[in-house]
Amino acid sequence: MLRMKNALRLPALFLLFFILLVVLLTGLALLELRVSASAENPRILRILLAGRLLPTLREVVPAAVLAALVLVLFPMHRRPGNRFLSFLLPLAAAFVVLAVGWPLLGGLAPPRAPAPTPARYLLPGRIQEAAGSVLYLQTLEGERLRGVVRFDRASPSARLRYAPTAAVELLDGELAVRGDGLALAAPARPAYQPLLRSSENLGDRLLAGYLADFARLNRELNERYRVSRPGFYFSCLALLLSFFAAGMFFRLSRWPLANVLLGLLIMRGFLALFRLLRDELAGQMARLLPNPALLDYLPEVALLIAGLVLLLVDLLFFPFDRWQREARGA
Amino acid sequence: MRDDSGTQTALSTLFVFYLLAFAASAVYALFRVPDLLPIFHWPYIWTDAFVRFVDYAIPLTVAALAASYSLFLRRGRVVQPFYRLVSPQLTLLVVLAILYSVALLGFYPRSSGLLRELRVLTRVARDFLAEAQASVQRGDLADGLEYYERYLSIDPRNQQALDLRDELRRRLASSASEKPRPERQPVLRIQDLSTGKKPYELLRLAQDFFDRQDYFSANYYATLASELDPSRQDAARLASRAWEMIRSRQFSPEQKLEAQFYQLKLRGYQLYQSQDYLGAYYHFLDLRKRKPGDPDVARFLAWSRAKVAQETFFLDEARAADLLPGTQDLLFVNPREDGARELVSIARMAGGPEGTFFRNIEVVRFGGGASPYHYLARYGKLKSSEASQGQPFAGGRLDVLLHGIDRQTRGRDLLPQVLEGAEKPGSRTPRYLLELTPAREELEALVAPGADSQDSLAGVSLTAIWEARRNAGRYGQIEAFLSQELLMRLLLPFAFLNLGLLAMAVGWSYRFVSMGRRPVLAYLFLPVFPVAASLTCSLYLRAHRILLGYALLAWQFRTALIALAVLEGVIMASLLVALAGQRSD
Repeated sequence: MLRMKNALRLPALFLLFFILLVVLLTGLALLELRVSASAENPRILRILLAGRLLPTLREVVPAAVLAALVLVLFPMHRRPGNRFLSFLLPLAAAFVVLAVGWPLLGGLAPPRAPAPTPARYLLPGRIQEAAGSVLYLQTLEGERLRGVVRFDRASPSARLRYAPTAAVELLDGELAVRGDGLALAAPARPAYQPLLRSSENLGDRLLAGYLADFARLNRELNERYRVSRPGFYFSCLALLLSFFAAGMFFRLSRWPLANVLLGLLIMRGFLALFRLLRDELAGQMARLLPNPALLDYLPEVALLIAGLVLLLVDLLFFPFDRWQREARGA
Repeated sequence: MRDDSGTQTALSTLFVFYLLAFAASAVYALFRVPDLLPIFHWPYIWTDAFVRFVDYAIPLTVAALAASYSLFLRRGRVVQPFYRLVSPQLTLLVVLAILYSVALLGFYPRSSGLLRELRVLTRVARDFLAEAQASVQRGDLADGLEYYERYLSIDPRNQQALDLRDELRRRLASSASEKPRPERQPVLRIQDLSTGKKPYELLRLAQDFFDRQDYFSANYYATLASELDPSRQDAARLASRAWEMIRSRQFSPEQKLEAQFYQLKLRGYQLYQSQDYLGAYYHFLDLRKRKPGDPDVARFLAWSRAKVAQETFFLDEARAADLLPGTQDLLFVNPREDGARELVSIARMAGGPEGTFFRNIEVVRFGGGASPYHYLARYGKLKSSEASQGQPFAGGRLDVLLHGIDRQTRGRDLLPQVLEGAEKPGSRTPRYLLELTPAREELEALVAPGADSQDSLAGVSLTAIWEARRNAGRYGQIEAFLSQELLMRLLLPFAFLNLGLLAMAVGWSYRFVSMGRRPVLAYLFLPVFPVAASLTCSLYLRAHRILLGYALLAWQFRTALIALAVLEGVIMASLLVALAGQRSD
């Protein structure tokens, strides 16, 4: 009875973790946006934040589902329940949330995001990085700048250049400043973006890799959903199964912390594998195969096979209540 | 064998992790050392290793504590209750956090600055070498020798440069037409007794000198007293009497040379009295070469030098400051009272025993109804830095002298070069002077943003950032950037403590189950710990960066500081509760 109860509480725990993670990740993502676009007109900023709420929710759902699924593994192994249900119920809950919730969020039309204004990228009276250079501007009126000074660190002689007036233009995500002797253009970066700039150490690079892979995953799911519903459901299933089955590593050895780290490493590997197969191997193999359409689902098939193999290994070789047994044994 | 305390285990693990990390940092630095002068290679490698070590100190500690608790204090090995095990280790963690704070807030900025300095000094030295070679090719051997000397003051062990310098010295010595430049004369510090004196005191001083037949000094002090208080007729009278005595001094025909020298002294004194201090300085310098022991010449040379230092600086001192540690790429708005904007760029600022010097000062002034002007001064000196030598400096304004002179030779002045606009920089104030509003302590933090701005701020002390933050907006800086740098630095010791506590709790909770023998294979997995800890720390710090950024922009610094303290307190309390909730075997 207790084992059944332990198994039944897992979907509820999954949902709890999922909601908390969604709130946390969405909150942080919106705060990040709020910080970087702080210089924007307050009215536009409010509309921008409201407009980004649904897209951000949708973007964090896959990461939140996968992270919540991983978090469920801890209570699952600490208080093991019925093995079959313990595996099936959280996986089913995750599948429902991802396969139903994600498209639902996509179906809701968010308010249209207003076009950015130069105020988001240029702060009057401040020295700042803008348009690929370091600039100071006295005033900003619409698209007119007055009292512009450019600082060129690399210049061997005079490093300052003054232009009494200049025009600013925002086009296709590029910010251009043109004035007397000034012709600058570079991808537009909000003025307060440097507040969010992190260092270049190992942890930050790993984190950037995670974020990039989740962004890639979002694009991939979006594409799958657009092309074929069954294909989308298959992608969701392969992804969730491989992640959840990698929980097998949590019980691999007598050292639980190392097991957890190894499990997380494998899951990270799945994300990288997904990207690698989609971006590189599928393209190369398509040239060799007569029917390249077969390779459309190569990453999903690979993940599904990996998940099934891990599941079989788990069932055959690892006792489900290993953590408990070893805690008692010690 | 059972470990009863656990503290020794944790300490040993930490020590091994730190040692390996420092060794790895040094090896990494060894392979990544940029193109520097050979003499800087090892200082760069050690400093870079230290900086990298401090950068990774938190993940390393987290990894070491997690490994120590989960692998070395494994189940079945520890006999004492958890609370007894953990108490001394909490003390250990606090001690480590204090040491980390000292390294981070004390040594880290200097070390980061040193890394930049070594790169800059390499560039400067190579410029000197190129200039030396170009001068020799032009046939200007004296200049070539000077540049070689300057290069060798940075890289004294370069045998090739030493040989070339020696050869140049020989050639100059054997050349009849060219003489080597005179060595720098020692600076005479003769006190000007007038400083801080009231007119009646000056008059008493003048009378004393008059009685001792030192009429130059008597005239000088009596004139000063008269200028300070024009109503004092007695001072004017004494000055006249002294002047009359100076003029009427008679020499016998045998004293022809002495009479000539006296006339020259008189000429110098007149230059001094007419406030042509630069002329007086060079004049008395010539006189000293003729008659080194003359006390009047020595005194007026020292006084005129002191006066000259109020308006100019010696170029050799400014060039010598190129070799001192300093701050690069300052860029700020210099607020003006007349409504104009003045943007100031300073390539380098360095302080030494002779004062604070600047290189490549560039100023663009516009707005306020005046036509824009733009000028560049190769060197400058902070006038207020003379304050330490007994010259009181009033007010918070800093004056930068832009007029460089040669110590020995008249006419080799270095003046600002006007790049744009008709207005000469010196026309608005007496002589070539740039008035700066930021305080000396604030200047260090007013660095230009850009690709390596983080490096730049990393080399700035906490105090300088704190000082500059308060007026950042006035100086054209984005206040939130400086505030966030400050808060992130304050956060790091707390992150060290909190993540250390988390590592202890997680490590204990997921510890190894003892097999009765040494888990050799498990050791192979230890390198994963610092990687995972690094990712955890980055997540923790990134979330804080976002929250602090929001707090700073939505509210203000003080609120953000309080919010940070509360947040860290809550996290620490939660982690202590989590730690207290751990069960013993």
